[in-house]
Amino acid sequence: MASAKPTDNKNTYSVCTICDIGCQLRAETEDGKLKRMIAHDNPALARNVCYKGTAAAHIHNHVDRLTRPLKRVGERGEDKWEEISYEQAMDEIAERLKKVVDQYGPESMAVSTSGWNTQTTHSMDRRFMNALGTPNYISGVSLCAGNTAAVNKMTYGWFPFADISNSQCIVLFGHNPRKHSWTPIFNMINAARANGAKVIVLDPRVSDQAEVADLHLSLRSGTDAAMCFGWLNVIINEKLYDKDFVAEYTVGFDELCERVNDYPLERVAEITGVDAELIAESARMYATAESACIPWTPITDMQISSTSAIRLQSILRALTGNIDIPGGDVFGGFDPNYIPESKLGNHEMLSAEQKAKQLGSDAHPAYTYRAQEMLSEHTERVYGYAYADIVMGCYMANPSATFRAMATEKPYPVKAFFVLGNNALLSYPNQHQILKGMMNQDLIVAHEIFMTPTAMLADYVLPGDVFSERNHIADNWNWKLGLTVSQKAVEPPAEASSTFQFWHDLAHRMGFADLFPWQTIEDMLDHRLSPSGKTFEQFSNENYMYIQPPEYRKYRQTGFATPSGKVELKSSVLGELGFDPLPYYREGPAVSEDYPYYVFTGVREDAFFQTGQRQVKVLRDRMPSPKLFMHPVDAERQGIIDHDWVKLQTETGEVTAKVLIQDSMKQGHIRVPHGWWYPEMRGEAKLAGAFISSDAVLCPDAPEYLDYEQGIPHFKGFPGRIVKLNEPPAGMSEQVLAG
Amino acid sequence: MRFKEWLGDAKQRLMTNIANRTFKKNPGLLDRLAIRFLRSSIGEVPHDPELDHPEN
Ligand code: SF4
Repeated sequence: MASAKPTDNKNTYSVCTICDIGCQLRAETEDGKLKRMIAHDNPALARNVCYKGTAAAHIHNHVDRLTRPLKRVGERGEDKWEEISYEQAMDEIAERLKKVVDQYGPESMAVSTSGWNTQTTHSMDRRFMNALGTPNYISGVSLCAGNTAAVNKMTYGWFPFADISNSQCIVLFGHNPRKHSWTPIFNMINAARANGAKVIVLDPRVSDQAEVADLHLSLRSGTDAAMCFGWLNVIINEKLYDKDFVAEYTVGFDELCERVNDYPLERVAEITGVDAELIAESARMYATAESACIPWTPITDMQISSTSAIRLQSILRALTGNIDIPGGDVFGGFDPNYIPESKLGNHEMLSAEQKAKQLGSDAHPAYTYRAQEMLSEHTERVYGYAYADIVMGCYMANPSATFRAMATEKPYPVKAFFVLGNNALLSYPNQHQILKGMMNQDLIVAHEIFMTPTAMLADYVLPGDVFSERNHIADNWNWKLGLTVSQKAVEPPAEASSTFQFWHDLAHRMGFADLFPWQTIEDMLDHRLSPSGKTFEQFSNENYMYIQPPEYRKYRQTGFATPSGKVELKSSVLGELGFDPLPYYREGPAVSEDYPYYVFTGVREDAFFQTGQRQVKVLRDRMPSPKLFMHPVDAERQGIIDHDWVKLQTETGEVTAKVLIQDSMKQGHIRVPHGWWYPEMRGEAKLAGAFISSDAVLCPDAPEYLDYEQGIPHFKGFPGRIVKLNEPPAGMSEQVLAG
Repeated sequence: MRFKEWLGDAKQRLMTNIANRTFKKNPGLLDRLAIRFLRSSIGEVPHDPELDHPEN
């Protein structure tokens, strides 16, 4: 079952998957090893590279890469292993999974993954799960882009991608694309700015983007929904909306207007802490621009009013006529040349009875089958296929409900946990509950490129491949139309292999061989490209990228993929599910004397993506230790100076880190970096220091902290306090102490 | 209004077609012209030393 040989060194283009943006880079190899990853030779793409991407050789050739399957020999979490063959590992995994399924039912298997990291799964995970009969798929995208996709579909049937480069006004809700984070978005913003675009930044901090913005609104963390109401108030009352579009293509405008009137500017100013005049000025700037876009933002994804805030951003796009136009927010649809993962997942196969068991769908259904299937016939009508799993985020179980079921066996036991390319322990809220859930499993299988705290809890750890070691065509998970070739430059080390291979081989052992006829990734790519009439070899010999020429205002022919066929300002789906069909603002948990600061977590640092790369020296040297950001006034009150060690405490946990005092911080706010652990402490500290500095311990997932419709937590503005430490924590390396 | 829309849309489609020509592995004459057009409008991108790493 040999997979294709690596491509000749010349013209080898690979899509970087170190972060989620997918820059196409060039690989240079020597003696069968990746030597360097460098910028593109096409000038239009040459700036789309950051220093993580050029560190690829340091990551892919790292001495700590997992290369052989490991089987646990000590207690769970003890990090003691024996090497076994791939065949033995897969045989034993299949046997033990069958046992769990026989005893507890298929829904007792849960899968957690990050599609960004695994890339070439081709939805074989969902296909396997649907064949087995389990709906319990969770992913980091439930907190980041995937959930936004699901909520956008409720308003207008698809998740648009902002046409930033051609826009005249760009609105960044806390999003802060920089030269070395979200690099292509950063470049698009710069290109638009060079063409005269205005940029409005709404961010508590004076972020990099805020520094150069035309308008900066320093709103209180977690108040995006209220701010959107402020804008709508101005836009509606000053009649700045697109009247023809509203009349012809929307439903619920009058009810929306009534709701908007509940949020006069003075109230919005009070909630957000931003001057009413500035709110009005920014709303006018957005609404009167020739074209304007509100790009997706990870900030609005993670708030207690997230569903409403996401819907309000959709509503702003619609009311101002900025949907599906050049420079606005554009609907891609399925790529006509490439079979989407949505189809490969085979969601039709899972019975209604099993879908109804999807964890969390009773209380928080927005991105579960329960809500999303209410859109199926409309998606089929407009886009030709019923299941649109945009950004892999539209048919997910709720992570908190899943870990609760793993820990408590309620509403039913979850006893087999498969985790691929995803350091789950540090990636979802309530890390203590995740640990409890993982300790209560009969079978845990991890598929990773490095040993992580999550993988340390597994029974089997399978070594994963990386992007320079596999062929692929990236299609942006149906968010944006375009196919980008990623060529295999080198062979994976020893027994490392892809997640595609993993699901294929497990399926064949579990009796689903007929559903998994593709032997190799290249077979799969040929299948997926079949609508184009080309094989992978032909396609990748001819192009390194192909963008489908855009079609705008498609809704004029098709209507929108919603029950009414229109933009639903008042959501019939949410109404039918028993939620408020109109957006609203809900206040997050209040600060108190005990916990006087607003804490925001989940913040990305340039050197790392999520919880990864802490073991890569050239990246770690750039960011040796975790840093909390505080305003000088707050620091002075606490008697803290730069580089002091502190504990940041909330009701549920504490994070130890150093402090950086920054004028750019908003007073009363503390920013916590995401995903810190210490690979160098492996063998010395519990789970390599996974409970020292990880922000996942801070935010609770009790009901009062969760968004009603999605059940995602309020990562952006929950109460916390700072305690100064007299000494650094024990066991820290010299690099951490010095850095 | 509709004409302005049509013009704006057509421009974007044209730009995408030009971009696609520059993404070819074995460019023909028109593809090479597209690449030349791109280079003249964007210019060469200088190397950024921030992207360099020491050899571990
Ligand atoms: S921004 Fe950097 S890490 Fe992300 S895909 Fe591009 S090169 Fe890779």
